[in-house]
This record gives sequence, C-alpha cells and structure tokens, in this order.
Amino acid sequence: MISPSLLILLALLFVLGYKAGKRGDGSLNRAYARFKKQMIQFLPRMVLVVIGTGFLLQIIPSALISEYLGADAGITPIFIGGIAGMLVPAGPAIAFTTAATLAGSGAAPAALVAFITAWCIFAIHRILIYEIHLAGSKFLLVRCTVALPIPFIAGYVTHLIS
Amino acid sequence: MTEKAEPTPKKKSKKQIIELMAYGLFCVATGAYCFSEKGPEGFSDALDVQAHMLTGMLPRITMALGVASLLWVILDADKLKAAIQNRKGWVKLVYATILGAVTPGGPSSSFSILNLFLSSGLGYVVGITYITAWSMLGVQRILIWDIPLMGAEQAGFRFIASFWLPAFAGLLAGWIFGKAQSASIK
Repeated sequence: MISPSLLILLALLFVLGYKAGKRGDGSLNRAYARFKKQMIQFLPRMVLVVIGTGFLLQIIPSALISEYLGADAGITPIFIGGIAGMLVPAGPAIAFTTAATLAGSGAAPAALVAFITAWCIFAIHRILIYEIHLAGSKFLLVRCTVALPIPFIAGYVTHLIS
Repeated sequence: MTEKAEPTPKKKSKKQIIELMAYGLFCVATGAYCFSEKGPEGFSDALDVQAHMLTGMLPRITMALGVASLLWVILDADKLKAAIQNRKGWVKLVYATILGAVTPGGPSSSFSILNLFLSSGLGYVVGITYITAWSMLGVQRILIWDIPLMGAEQAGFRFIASFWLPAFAGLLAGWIFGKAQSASIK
C-alpha cells in the first residue's frame, strides 16, 4: 500500500519535475545529475546505519526504551530526547535513523521531536565547521543561549497535541 | 541539502571513505555484539527488521532525493536574499523564517547567507531567526530525512510544534541581547 508520505513525495516530484522541464534550460538534466550524486553519497550510509541500528535495537530491550522514552513516562522523555539530541556528533543519516529506530521501539512523538530538534539546532559538526568561522563566536553564544529551550518547547507542544 | 562542505574532490573522497569505514565498523561491532548476546536467532531477527526497514525506506529516499535535486535547481538563493532585505518589522521575521526553510544547498550556502545578513547590518534578530529556521524547518531536510524516515505524521507534529520557534528565538535574542544586535559579527 502507498503511504501518505510516499504520495506527498510523488506529487511533489511531478509538480517540480514539470516546472523544471517547462523551463527548457537544462534544469531537468542538472537536477538528474545532482540526484545521481546524492544517491551515491547517501545510499551506502543509509544502508550501513540501518544495519547498525537494527542490531542495536535487538540488543536494547524495548521495555527500557518504553520506560524512559515512551508516552506513558510523561514529560521525562522530552528532557532525555532533547539532551540526547544535543549530544549526537554526526550527520542526518545517524540522527534520523536513530530517531526512526527509537520510534519503532515505542518512543513517544514528543521525545522524538525534542531529539530531532535538538540535533538540528546544536549539530556540533556544523557549529565547528561553519558557524564559528562564518558568524563568529559572539553570534554562536547568543544563538545557543536563546535556542536552548527550543527543543524542550517543541517537545512539550508535541506532547500536548499528539 | 547535504550536510557536507565543498572541499577538494581528493579530500572529499578520503573523508567519505573514512566515514563509510566508520559506519562499517559500527555495523560489525553491533552485529558481533548482537550475535554474542542474542545468538543466531536474535541475529536473524535483527536482519529481518533491517530488511523490512530498508525496503520501506528506499523508495521514499529515492523520491525525496529527486524532489530535493529539483528544488536545488529551481530555487534561487540570490532572489531569496533580496526578498528579505526589502521587508520591515515583523514581516522581516516571517520572511527570514520562510527563507531559512527554503534555502537550497547545505550549510555552506546557509551560513554564507547568514554571514551576508550580519555583515549588511540586518542584525542578530534576523540572523538567528534565519539560521534557526534553516536548521529546524529546512524543506529539503524535511523531505529527505523527516518524512521518509519518521513518516508524515511525526514530521507534521514536529513542523506544527516548531514553525513559530525560529521567530521566537530571534525575538528572544533581541530582548535579552538587545545591544548585541548592533555589534560587529566577530
């Protein structure tokens, strides 16, 4: 069965493909070249991360995940998810695949939102490579200070609406 | 869309090989540990889960990368920058949020735009709103990672819970660090 997310992507693919094709300036060819490059870059990582986290899931008892990250644990999972997200020193392949495997083991949506949001905002590799050099340490300090509560707020709002 | 910088091809390929080797080692280590803890049956169960996950994810990832590649070609970062510079007041924050969400490319393009904002005197409020929106609400990230891996419902929760937070962070920065707005970038 086709899932809603697949349908959204399919619709977007057709709309954007049509728009790019209509330009008649080789946009479609450039998009295809980029697509091939991205597939070569992402696919091996994706497969390896899924295999590694799949083994991890088998080792970690799902009862433990439910106890600390499940919906029944109240707002504690939001704090655990938020702090764990800040500590992930890796790219999106690891962060999102970890979140997806946690979701499969019963982690609450609020915990996952806090986890992903914290990773998005505080991804350490991005801070070290880009932010310090292109925005400066003062900007970084201000941004990190004001962004600190954001993962927890996002998690709490999700807790209320989910 | 990608989280990678644009180093020289030689450096890039070396970095990719090291990264893939690290992922491979992670698989071998977790696989060996799984086998020793759970035995052949647990190991086989884990392989079944992985096969199920991969078959579910591959079509979505393929399509998401196609969408992201088309967006990369269609969106024009220079036009987007010009759009925000012409706005005033809170509308600027709305534009900064939208611009952050739709900025094509990886951190190299978004942080370059941030640098331009800060050096052209747009201030920390706009800068923080923009880069927070890019990191949290980036359309390409949502399409490539959020929807395919977490599903539309979970991605929707995250979007609804956080679409207003970049502007909140910007305003908070202006409130707490009002003076910093007029400070130089470095």
